[in-house]
Amino acid sequence: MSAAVLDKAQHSTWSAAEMRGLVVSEFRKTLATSAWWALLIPGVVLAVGVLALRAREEYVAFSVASASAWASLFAVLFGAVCASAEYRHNTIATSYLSAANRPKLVAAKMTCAAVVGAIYGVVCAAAAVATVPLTGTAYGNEWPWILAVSAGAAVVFALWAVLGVGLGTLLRSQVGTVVCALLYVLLIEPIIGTVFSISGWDRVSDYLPDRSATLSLHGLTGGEQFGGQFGVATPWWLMLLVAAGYAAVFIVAGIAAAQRRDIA
Amino acid sequence: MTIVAQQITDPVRKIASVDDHSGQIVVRNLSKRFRSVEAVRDLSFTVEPGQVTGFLGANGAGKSTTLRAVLGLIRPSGGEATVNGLRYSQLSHPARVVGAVLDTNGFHRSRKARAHLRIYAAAIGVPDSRAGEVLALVGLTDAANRKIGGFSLGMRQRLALATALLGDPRILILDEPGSGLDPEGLAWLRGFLRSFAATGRTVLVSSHQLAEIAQTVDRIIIISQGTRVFQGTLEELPGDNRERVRVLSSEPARLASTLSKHDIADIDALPDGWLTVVGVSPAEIGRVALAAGIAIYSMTSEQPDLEQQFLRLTVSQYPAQAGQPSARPVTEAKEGVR
Repeated sequence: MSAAVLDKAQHSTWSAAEMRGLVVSEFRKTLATSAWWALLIPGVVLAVGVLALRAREEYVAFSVASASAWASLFAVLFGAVCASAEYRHNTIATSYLSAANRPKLVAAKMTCAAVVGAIYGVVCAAAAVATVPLTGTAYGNEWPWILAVSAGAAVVFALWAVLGVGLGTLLRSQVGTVVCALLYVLLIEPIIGTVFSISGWDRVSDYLPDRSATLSLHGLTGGEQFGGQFGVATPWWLMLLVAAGYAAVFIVAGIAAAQRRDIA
Repeated sequence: MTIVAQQITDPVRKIASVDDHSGQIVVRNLSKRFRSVEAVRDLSFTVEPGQVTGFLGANGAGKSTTLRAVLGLIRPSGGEATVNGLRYSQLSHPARVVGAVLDTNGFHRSRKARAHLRIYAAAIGVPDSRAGEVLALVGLTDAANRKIGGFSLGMRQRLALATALLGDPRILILDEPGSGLDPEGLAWLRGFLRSFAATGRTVLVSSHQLAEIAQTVDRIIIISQGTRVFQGTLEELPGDNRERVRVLSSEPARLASTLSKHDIADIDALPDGWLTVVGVSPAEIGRVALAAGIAIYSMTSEQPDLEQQFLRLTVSQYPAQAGQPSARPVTEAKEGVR
């Protein structure tokens, strides 16, 4: 009882210098290993591939949004690998010993993953945008929306990287987190979505994690002009908030699990 | 002793916990249960600065669990462990107070030694130049830019020590540091720990072999089955300093029964006909044998060595022995601070 109170009292003192040190430490961890570019490459390839398949049939901004939405899976994987690598390589004890407490370490990890995730988002969106001329399509007058979608991609990727950190901290197993994330995006959510739409609850499936991220990007393509055609009726900012909510839930769950866990 | 640093008020107990800068490690009534296994039971001891304290016990006795509880990696089921009068989680810069060497596999193998140290230098909040300093301290300067995956066990052990020293801690905790070190490395580590303690700092080092650390330690704590069975100096190790006599006679069985009639009960019969008799002099055995008409062919007497005493404590004695004489009763420890 008193232990919990004391811990809480201590946790409330978060100094900027201390957090800066922990975040720098996380960036060094990231840059000292290959995961950050090893996961960025397939993300870029996926973005380029999706765009190449769809650019001729859709508005450019919309294809960029779809390409980014698909590639954002790799931001989740980056975050998850970031967090679970500590368990896979047995470095978690050393990391906990260097930080004043565990929430601070997870927060630093989250910050680092969010920044790397945002960079992933910009790079993947830029790769998709750069692919447009190769498909024989013109940018036309869509630049404002292309830029809006790219900025949105930075935010969505950052949120997904944060969600990944939460998931990785929760599950600890690197393979487990990657398999979980892939299964969910490729299988579970489409099934749930189908069930909802059969039941006539299309709007409910908009609030599923992957769908919310996709819809927020689609919404940034100048919603009203595509509204009828693609069924984007919920505003992009609401979808972004929903995505942020999922990221928050996972990171809070991760911190709670980290706090409880014995490192034996 | 200056009492400064951070002050945390506990609203429940209405008292303040302060970093007392004592350099003491205090374990008080510590218990830890992992599902059905009770790893540590009501364990109490104090580790003082300026000394090397050995923490001994057989594998599975609860050594690592205890050390990890001190380091805040394990949440105790009962009791508490403090460093400088605070729990690890209450220290504002823990790695600058306590350095720990826990295992030799706590590395990302594809990182280089210097990169590994710079990661933790940033987290601890010490300048990056510390990485080079601690590498030099453990003799790994030449390996600074090599990947840890290519390191030998001994090199990883030294890199773990370098990591522990990054924050220039006052207290050093090492879990089985001897494993993986060659004799030269072991000798180096002994010298290092002695000089570290000689500057008034605290060293707590665990081992399952008394011989490995006997030359290094000032005091030892022995635990068995999660409970303390001894705390004190090596000289105070509870002998049973009784001598052991090995006897080869014409009639081992009759000699054993005759000896037991003389209230000499501690007798082991070995299959090859030898008897091991504990606590009686060869002369006494000779007299008993002569009176019974048994011929003695050979007798050798040996004094028990430290290792045997240690083994006796850890293997054959159970929690009933928790109250062994110790130089410093644990209960005296720092009650005044709280």
